[in-house]
Amino acid sequence: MTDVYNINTSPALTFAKLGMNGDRISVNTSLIKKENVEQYIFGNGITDTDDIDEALPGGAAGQDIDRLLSTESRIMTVKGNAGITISFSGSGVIRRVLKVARGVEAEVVEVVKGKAPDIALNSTSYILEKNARLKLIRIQMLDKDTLYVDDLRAKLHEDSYLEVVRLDLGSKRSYIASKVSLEGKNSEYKAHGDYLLNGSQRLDINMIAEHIAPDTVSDMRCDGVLLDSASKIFRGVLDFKSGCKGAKGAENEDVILLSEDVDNQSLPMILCGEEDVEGNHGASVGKISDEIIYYLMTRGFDEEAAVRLIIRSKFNNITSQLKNSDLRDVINRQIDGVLS
Amino acid sequence: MTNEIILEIKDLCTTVGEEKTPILRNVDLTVGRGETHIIMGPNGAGKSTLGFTVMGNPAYEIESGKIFFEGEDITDLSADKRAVKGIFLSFQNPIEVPGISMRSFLKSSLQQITGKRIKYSEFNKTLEEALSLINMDPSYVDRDVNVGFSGGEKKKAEILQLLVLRPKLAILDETDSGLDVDAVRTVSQGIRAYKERYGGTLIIITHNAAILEALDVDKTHVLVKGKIVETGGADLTDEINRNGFEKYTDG
Amino acid sequence: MADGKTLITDVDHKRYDFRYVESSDEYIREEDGFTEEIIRRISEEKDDPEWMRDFRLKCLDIYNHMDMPCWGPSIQELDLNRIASYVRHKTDMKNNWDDVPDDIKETFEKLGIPQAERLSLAGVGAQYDSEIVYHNLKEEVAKMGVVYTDVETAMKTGYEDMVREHFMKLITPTDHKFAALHGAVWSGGSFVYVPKGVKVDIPLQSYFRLNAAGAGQFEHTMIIVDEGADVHFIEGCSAPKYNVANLHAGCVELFVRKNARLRYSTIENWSKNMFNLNTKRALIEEGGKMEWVSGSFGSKISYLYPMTILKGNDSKMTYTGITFSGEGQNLDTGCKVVHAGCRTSSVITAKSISKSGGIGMFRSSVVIEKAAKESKCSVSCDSLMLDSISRADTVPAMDIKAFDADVGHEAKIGRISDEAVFYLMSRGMSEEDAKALIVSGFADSVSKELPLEYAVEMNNLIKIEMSGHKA
Repeated sequence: MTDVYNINTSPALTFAKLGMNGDRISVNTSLIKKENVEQYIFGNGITDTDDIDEALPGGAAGQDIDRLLSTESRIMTVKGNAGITISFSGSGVIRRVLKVARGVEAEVVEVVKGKAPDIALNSTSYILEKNARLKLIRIQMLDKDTLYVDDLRAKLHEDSYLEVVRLDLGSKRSYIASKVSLEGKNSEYKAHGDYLLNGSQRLDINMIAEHIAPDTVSDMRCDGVLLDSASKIFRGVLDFKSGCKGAKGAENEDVILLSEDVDNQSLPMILCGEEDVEGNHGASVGKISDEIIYYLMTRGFDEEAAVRLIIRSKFNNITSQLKNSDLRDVINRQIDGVLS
Repeated sequence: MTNEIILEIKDLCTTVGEEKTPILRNVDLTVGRGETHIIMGPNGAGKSTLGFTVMGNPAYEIESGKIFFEGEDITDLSADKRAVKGIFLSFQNPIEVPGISMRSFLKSSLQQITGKRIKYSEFNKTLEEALSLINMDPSYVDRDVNVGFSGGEKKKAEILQLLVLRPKLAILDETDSGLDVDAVRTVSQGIRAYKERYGGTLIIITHNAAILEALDVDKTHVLVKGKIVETGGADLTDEINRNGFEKYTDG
Repeated sequence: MADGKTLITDVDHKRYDFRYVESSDEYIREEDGFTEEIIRRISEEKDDPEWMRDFRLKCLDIYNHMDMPCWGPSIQELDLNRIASYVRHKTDMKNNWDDVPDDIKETFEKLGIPQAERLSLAGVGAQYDSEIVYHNLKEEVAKMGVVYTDVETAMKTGYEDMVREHFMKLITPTDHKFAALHGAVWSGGSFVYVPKGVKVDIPLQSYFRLNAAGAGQFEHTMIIVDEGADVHFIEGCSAPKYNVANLHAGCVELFVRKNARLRYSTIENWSKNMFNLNTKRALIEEGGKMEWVSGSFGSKISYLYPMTILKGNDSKMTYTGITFSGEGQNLDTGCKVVHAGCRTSSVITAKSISKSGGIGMFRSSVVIEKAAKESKCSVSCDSLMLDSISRADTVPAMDIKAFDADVGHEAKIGRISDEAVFYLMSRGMSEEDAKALIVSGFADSVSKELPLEYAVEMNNLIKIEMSGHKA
């Protein structure tokens, strides 16, 4: 059964003619099989549980995509550091709820790999209880003919802190839908995503930070490099709901374009219904600044080497956060492969 | 004694921007190997432009004139080729490069310039020597290039690069500006080491006499409105420090 | 801070709100709605050339088949069957204020138009409901070959070909439903032609007044600035408040030829029952420069995004705009730019203020085409929230297809700092004055782009809005 699904519809619409308000995908649901997706958990920081007693946040991918989430959620508790590998071997849907218990401080490294030409759908909800702190590193290195949907949701209780670091390298088309609800007073969310797209890769991002409680803080950054005929759309939303007094939000984008055939679309939005907030967004799009290239050239690098150095250093910011040196090497090799 | 000529600028005219605003007007300058030249001049005279032009900054257009380095015409060479030939420019505002440590940056820079692979042990020795010459805390080299450095730290980091790369000609653009007394002393110590240990040639662009105290100045050039209006010896530096540029700018 | 008080002088709240009721024997008013019979009658009344009549009918057909826009504020309350397409006084266009009927003349006097003409304008046009009632151009400007009249007159005085070549070529009827409606019922507006190399030192101004309740104003503005010429055009608009909806669906088409410059300033203060669905577009050729200055204060709902097509190499655009959304207002404003030529540049600076439940939306679109090599664009957008029952949203879209483009974007949202208010109050200012002063300061980047009289007018409008408009 092939059906068409709306995906990543923008929370606020722009001029319809720009074609930036959302996308649609066709999915053959009969190909989706449970055995096509495996989850491996490393370390003993994560255990299965069955207690979940609160409403889960809605996703940024949209209600249409919710229809694809027919499988049961696996419910887990995060008590400490852990690694998770999710591997696709055909159309698959994985749905998980991870609860970071009160006061727990943890780092979870998730690697998504494998191959699924029709759809690989990874839907994850994180619930951070009071005072919980989670650093989530997600590395996506799916095979280059995969259609990937990454539906990340998080709900932050009082005084909790979520940091999401992500690196998107693989798949042919990917959709990143991320919605973080800052529901507890004083909760904080920081996101830093990097992507490297070449060939005809396309990345479609819909990232929402929803400030509900007072004194909440968000800081979203999404940087990337486009080569060949790659294309990308970034929709980022700071949504200040009435009552989120003292909230602060920032979103930033920095995109480097390295080929004549790329297409880069950006829609960085601020929606504001509260007076006492501070919101900022900034974007810079284009080639690497002449000044930086010149500085590196005065130190002996030719222009091409200077560009490579700058891009490598950009990704170093992410890969240097990985403690697993094997994984770091695999990623660095993949980056070098694209840049050479 | 006349030294072998290392840099020769002949009748150089440069402009900047779409409007082709003239900056340098018919500048001639000859520098011998091992010499120390000082460029002084009021703000906006074109001192930084002179440094950038010798280092091949594409933002400045050479309208006429030639630049020779070790007898070879380098007027049309890109900045990296000039660096390989042995020219170094210390920036007034060094650029930040997030994501790459000073250590690995300097190592690959040195490899680019020398065209040789350098062993870690050998490189570390060079680096430690340079660090100790300017009393710089070794932890700096494990930080990203210039990221989060104070103004003074950035200037010191440029001198560190000078001491690691050991070019034949170093142009120092206001390396002393914005530094406190101690930092000026450290930086000039580094410059002296470059000159004495590695036989370096220097063009120093400055407002300030303090940095020159420990150096033997061969020539001082006064640049006003893009022209070298006077050339003299070390005593000219002292005179300008006493009297300023009024006598060149009036009328 | 006595200076602050003189800066924001006391104003008559009723300045824009007076009205004269049109008596049926002095005015011609079309029946409500938009039908073929009505369009034919308007066309006949205007003695249109045949091509224009056919164009109107084609537009009506497009209008009937097009959907309402789906992305902006809701305009469901606007019942298009209850809008009169055409209202005019039974007088002709005059070039002497003494000949203008008394009620209309007094209206414009209260708005300060004849006074401004004497003081600082090169030419003035004044539209009352559907028709231009007054038009005059200083003799010395006319002598330079500058043409300033309405589109209807232009077609009858030797410029028919020029009108036909340009009319709704930038804003085509299929662009959106209200562009189609405009094409069908357009009436009045301005036609300006500035010949090659002619520089007009002082501005031209057209003022649009919609006086009739439940009516629409559909003026068409066409400005052609020929090679190397330079002109500043000011547009002002206002209307008294009614309990029924009024509609403004004008079109502005601007042609800036090689190395020419056009500055287009608008101070818009429609009444708060107005649906302002206006379309403005400019085409800039090589080395040309378009400057938009825009202050939006009035209307119930606005859709307003002046668009610039930087077609020629090295052409430039600046947009400086401010929008003040108060009680009951939903103002959706911003700008659009398409970079098509090489080395084109655009600078967009927008400010928005929301108060007393008003909704302000900044919406923009920047497209850099693949061929627009080495182009630059910078967008900066500041919003000020004055309370928590209002909204300020920012939706800026960018589509960059040229890899060597240089695009920067910044947006900020925030409130008046308590410290700043306290500082001014500690120097003896009332809280209201302190806030008004801070808001005026926030708006300064726009007001300094306006001629002095208009900057004063804008500060007056801010002062009115800050003290709570008594409608």
